[in-house]
Amino acid sequence: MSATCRIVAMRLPDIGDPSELGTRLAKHTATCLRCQAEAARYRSLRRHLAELSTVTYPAPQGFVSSVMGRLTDPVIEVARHTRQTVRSRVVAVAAASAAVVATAGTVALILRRLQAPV
Amino acid sequence: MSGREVGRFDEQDLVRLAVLGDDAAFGELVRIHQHEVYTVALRMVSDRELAYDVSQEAFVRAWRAIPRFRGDAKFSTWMHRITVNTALTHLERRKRTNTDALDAMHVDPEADGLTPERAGESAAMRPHLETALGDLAVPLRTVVVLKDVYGWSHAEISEHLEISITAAKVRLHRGRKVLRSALWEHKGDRS
Repeated sequence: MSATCRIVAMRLPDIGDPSELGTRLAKHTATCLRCQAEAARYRSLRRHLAELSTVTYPAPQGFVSSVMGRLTDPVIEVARHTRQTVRSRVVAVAAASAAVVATAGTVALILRRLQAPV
Repeated sequence: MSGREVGRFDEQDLVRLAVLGDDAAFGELVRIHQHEVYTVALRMVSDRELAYDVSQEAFVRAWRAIPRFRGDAKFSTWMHRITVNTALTHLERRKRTNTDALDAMHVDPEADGLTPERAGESAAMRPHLETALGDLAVPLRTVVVLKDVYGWSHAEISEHLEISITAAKVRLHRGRKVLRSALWEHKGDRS
């Protein structure tokens, strides 16, 4: 593989057609079977990837009723609400604990200073 | 509105009714778009169970957001974006919880209804391509799917993934190279 082939191989993933390679590299590709094959592979890859957009896979059976159940299920809303409540309670307890620790620390510091010999 | 009445409406009517809170109309939209949404989710996360959760949650999110749907884009385009965002949230969550055990899709053509009519080069290539896509690292797969399968622009990808346009281009370059190697180096030449 020549240095030019390596440059072409490096550029091919980013372009749609060898003509976009620029004059020098395009001229090389026109006469290099290895580069033409590589360009063809990338063209094929991009064509097949684009074709995937037209292929759909069937959603599992019962999908619609399951979605509709989730939309109207009050348990889910309650659970969501409960999770939020629990989360905010955890935050409140953590904040209160931090405040208690800070206060205790300050009190301990003051007591130590008062007890320290002058 | 009863389920039977829904059948008389076209999609725009269904969207208008759903915006007003009509869950039967929204149910009809779910029925129409379920396969498309599930497929987008499956391509993004490459895991059937997760794709099921993602597509379900995408519809739930859509239902909550639909009062704000202005109809600037088609419902399918709007749904597509919600699905992509939901998939990204799930992938991020899974990355954070450090349980990123990605199963390749290993598409079984028969199980997925790819009939013999689809015979030919594309059909022969598709299962290998889907598997190779599923094996791609998540950051590369996300960009390749959005750009090469669904035709998003680099700017749109950059915005949704919160990465620079250059990063999106680099991921695309790497992703295509990995796919090219997977398809033509390790499994024989199919060109």
